[in-house]
Amino acid sequence: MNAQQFQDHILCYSDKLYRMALSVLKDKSLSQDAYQELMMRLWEKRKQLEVIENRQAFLLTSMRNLCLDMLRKQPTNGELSPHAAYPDPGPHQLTEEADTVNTINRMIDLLPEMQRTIIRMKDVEEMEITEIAGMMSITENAVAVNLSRARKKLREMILTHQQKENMLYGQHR
Amino acid sequence: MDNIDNILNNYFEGKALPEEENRLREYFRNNTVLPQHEVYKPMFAAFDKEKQIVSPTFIIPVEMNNQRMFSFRRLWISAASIAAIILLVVMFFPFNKNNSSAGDYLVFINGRAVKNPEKAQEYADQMFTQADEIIRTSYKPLVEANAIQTKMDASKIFDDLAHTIDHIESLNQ
Repeated sequence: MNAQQFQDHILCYSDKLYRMALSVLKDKSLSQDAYQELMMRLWEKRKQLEVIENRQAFLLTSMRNLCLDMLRKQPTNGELSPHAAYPDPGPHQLTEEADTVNTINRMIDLLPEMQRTIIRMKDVEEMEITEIAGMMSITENAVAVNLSRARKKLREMILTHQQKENMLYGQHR
Repeated sequence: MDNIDNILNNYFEGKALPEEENRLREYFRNNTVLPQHEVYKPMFAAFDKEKQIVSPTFIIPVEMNNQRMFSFRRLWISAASIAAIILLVVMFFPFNKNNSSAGDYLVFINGRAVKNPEKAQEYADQMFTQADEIIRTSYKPLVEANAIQTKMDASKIFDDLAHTIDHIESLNQ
């Protein structure tokens, strides 16, 4: 695989890979490092990439594994318990978070790693359940269950956030 | 709108079909979202916003030029080594010609056949002397250049000029 082929067949997945890194690591700088690291490793082993059939699944799996390794090496990886509740936003936070889209992203980041990766693969990258199952080496049923849990948890957080918001604005009226 | 409610339910259960999910995305992108669904609009907007995140640039390391330079260098070294070995063999390896007896001595020096070992030694000594002379004369311009550089020492010239000026001033006084 030469530079042009690498550009056409590997670098075309760059955006998806970088978004995967952001989803797992939740840190822009670390994600940039992970992306560069993965690309350098792939470039060094570019001859072996020619025989891989499902490149997207292979690349996304590689990026996720690399990011999970990076998380394991960190003293505190910022992961919350899967049963952790969405922390209630304070009045100050509510008034500052005018950008509700950012609030949603913050909520997704509070989900356990597997759930947030699955919800993003499904709703951002618009991948099929089968593709996600292959990429994460789990069954399609496990993907569907985790996806449902992630979406319900997100809905719960959104509704809680809205209730708090309504209470705050109701007090000021 | 019952239909949208049903699709939303299926969506949160992780059971919505791909076409139903596409319909939801389109619905929430429009400005015709019903008030009871408004709460979910930022969620779909967040997914759309994440799709716009692009990766940093990965610069493919230069491979072709380095490889060519490396190959050329290796080729040059190999060729020079082979030439040196052939030259040594031709110059100093005595070999028999026309099935002559083992006691016969024959070497080729610069293409000339020399049968007398003493003559060959003398010829070799003469060549070494010539080589020594060539090396000595090659260094001669360098030695001369060093001498000129020493003579043109700026600090020495300024010191001499200072002495001369002091001498003239003392005469004037």
